[in-house]
Amino acid sequence: MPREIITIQCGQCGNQVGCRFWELALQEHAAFNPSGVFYFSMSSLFRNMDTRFKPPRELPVSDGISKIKDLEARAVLVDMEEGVVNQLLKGPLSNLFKSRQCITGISGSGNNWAHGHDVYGPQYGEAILEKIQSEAEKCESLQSFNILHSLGGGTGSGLGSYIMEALHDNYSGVLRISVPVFPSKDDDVVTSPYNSMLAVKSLVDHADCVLPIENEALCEILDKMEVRKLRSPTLYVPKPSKGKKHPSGKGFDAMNEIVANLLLHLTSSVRFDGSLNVDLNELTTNLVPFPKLHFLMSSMSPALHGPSHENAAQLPTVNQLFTDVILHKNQLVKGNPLACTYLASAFLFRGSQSNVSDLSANICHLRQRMKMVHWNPEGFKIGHCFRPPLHAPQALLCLANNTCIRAGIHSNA
Amino acid sequence: MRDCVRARVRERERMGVVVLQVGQGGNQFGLSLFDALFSLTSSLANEFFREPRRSADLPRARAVLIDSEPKVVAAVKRRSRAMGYWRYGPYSSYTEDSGSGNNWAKGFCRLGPSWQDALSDLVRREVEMCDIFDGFITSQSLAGGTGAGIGSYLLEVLKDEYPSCNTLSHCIWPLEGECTVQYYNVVLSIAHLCDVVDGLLLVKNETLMSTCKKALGIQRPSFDDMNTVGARALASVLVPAYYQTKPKLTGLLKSSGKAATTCKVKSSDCQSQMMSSTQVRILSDLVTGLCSHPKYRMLALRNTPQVPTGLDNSTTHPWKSHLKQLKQMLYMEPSWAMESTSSVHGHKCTSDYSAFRKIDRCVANLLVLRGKGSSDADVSLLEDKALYPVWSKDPLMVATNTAPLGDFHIFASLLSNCSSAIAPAAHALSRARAMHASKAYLYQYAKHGLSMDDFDTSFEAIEAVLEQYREL
Repeated sequence: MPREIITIQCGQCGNQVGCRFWELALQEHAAFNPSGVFYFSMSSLFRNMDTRFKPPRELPVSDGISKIKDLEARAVLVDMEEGVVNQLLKGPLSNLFKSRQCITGISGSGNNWAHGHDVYGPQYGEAILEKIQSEAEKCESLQSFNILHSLGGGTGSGLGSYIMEALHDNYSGVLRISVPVFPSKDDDVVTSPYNSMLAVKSLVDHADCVLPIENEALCEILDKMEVRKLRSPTLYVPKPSKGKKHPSGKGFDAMNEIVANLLLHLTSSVRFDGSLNVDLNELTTNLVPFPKLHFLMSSMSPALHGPSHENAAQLPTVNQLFTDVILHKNQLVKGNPLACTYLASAFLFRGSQSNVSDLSANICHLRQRMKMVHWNPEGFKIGHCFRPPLHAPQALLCLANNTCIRAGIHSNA
Repeated sequence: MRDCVRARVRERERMGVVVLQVGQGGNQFGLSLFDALFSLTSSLANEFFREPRRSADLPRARAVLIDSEPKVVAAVKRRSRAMGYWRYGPYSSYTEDSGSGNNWAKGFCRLGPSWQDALSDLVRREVEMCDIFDGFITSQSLAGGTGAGIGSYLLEVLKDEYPSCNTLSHCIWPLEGECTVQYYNVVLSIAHLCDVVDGLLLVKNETLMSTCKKALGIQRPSFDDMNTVGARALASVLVPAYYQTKPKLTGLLKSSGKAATTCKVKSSDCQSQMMSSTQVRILSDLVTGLCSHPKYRMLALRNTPQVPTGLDNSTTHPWKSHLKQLKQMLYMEPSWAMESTSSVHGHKCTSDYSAFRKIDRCVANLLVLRGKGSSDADVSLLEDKALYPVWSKDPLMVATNTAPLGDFHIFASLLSNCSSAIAPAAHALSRARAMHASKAYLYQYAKHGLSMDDFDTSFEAIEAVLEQYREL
């Protein structure tokens, strides 16, 4: 019954984003599951383990009424420095990950793609694949690998590319979805353009679907929220983290939360019921008309904790969500999709207050403003999941295969 | 009651129709259909429900539920249990976890063959529970991979396994923008289904949505609302009715307990029905009457009213306005007539909208009237020779039932073998050809064994069907 997703977190950025993702996933499932039952929807991302046994025994979902004993994430953590992974294993999420799911090195990749790909790849490749295989064998029907990594450094980009190639060779029937964080223009890693260019080549050849993220775009989204906070003092904005900050001064925590929300929204239709379910397979079928053109612009509305403290009257309507989601300031990669051509786009709606007629009507309106490619003037895919996200009563994710992505890749690589 | 009548009554009671619900859309619609079949009749429609083994249990729907992912079938079964009047059989469903990814080729070429044995067994089990098996009705959407792809494959297999059975395929035409590759899936499905099913009933989601908004006043209709409207329309031609045959006395009557009560109350109507009417055999008569020509299989369904109206004793001809409305519905809807083709990449689309006539010409019609005075209604409006080609003999079948349809004291349905599918099919064909000319998404289908030539074959098959209807 479950359709599992294995998350592979590679490098410092990948593991930090992953950490935030698992925190929010637990909160999301807990919010709708006060009785602590291990539902089918949880089994996509988690395993239920009985730790009284040695080794711990997995409790199957069966009829979906058994209680949660001990959750384990379906994840593999890879980093060539121990710091971030050790922090994860000691932190509040320590129960989710076991050491058998982690591969760490000591000296790091020195922000060098070649070191990550050509040295650590062959050195650690077999061990990584063993751990991935161990996770995959515990899945009844594995749907996809989600790879979280950055492209500017050495591990996430170099070793991440190696892992992508290995997955392509060994699990060709399973989707490979990459969520790479592109370096910004003022990135403090000097070699980041080389690293990201080499990684993009690997993503073109070996990934099924890539959802690029740019830190600059995330900062702009957070800036906008702070401006809104000034206008509306009760509006909640996540606090900047005490730890490492982005050169713009924004905490990475808030930025990682946006990416985590993206991943939760993407997988919501796999996990929860809806009137128009959209699998990850369906996304690639509908949005990737040619095999190498699989780089998708993503945008969400709302992206983050927005209206939780606002008046109900100020909550955005479904029409506003659609209007906002195609604007350039809400994209997670810098670019203006309305000024370029859409090859295809998907609108995945979460929430039960609206239904298919609202979604359909909004798509008809949006068509007037979007420039669609001539052979696909009705290139839309609608998804509707009944379960809303944590941070809003309804939310919309737009994934667009749009030609403006080339500006983002070109400037960063 | 005469022995021959008793024999026909027993036969009718034991006939069974198995409904195959395939894919998300097909399963959601199937739930609404069974709900309508149960609630719109005063007695249990034995063709669609079987009595449970233990009398304390609820009737079981004669259905097989199929999907490539488990959530929808589980939700549909849960909802039927929650309604509490009937249930799906406990072993009547087949689901897997893979999903078909909106890919017709994955459904038709990969999943269909690998599931063939399991699905055949499941269907056979349900068919064996019918004393006399009349045929299949499938409920499927044309946009995705499961309903369209696996549904098409399953029907081909069932055609081989049950060569003499009748098949009616209820196909849901998607909204614009529901799925990027929907036109490929629609074209491939129709091309394959036309060869294997007896009747192909196309229902547009857009039409159902528009009916909900304009006729029912639901400003923001959900899929449930649309499915309720569509299910009522289909159920109105499937639940018992009697067609008038002259002059032989071949009367028969439902003899289940509740219907007998109904007939006691309306004894004069029942008497006249007994004296001059023959029971409509749901699939066989429908299919042989409407789809006897192998080249004409596309059906359309129209009905009126959409909102229950009270008994109107003030007019002497309550049926006249409804029949007039049905005839007006045969004129092509403006939105379809306004579509225009364009040439893409120098490839001229062959669909020619200027050849459309003003009215949907029909090969044959089944008119079903339900309510008081239905057997005396004047149907000459629909006997108009201008509606039919000259070679069509006795193109209008009329069936009536004095019993109301649920809350509707008066209800008229028209199931037509007509040219109303030309416009949407031609539109889908032109869009599919445009994508095909650019080779968009073809690698996704080629991965599962469908080549460009297979697409060309399907395009030609659709063109041939459209040409036949244009000549009407």
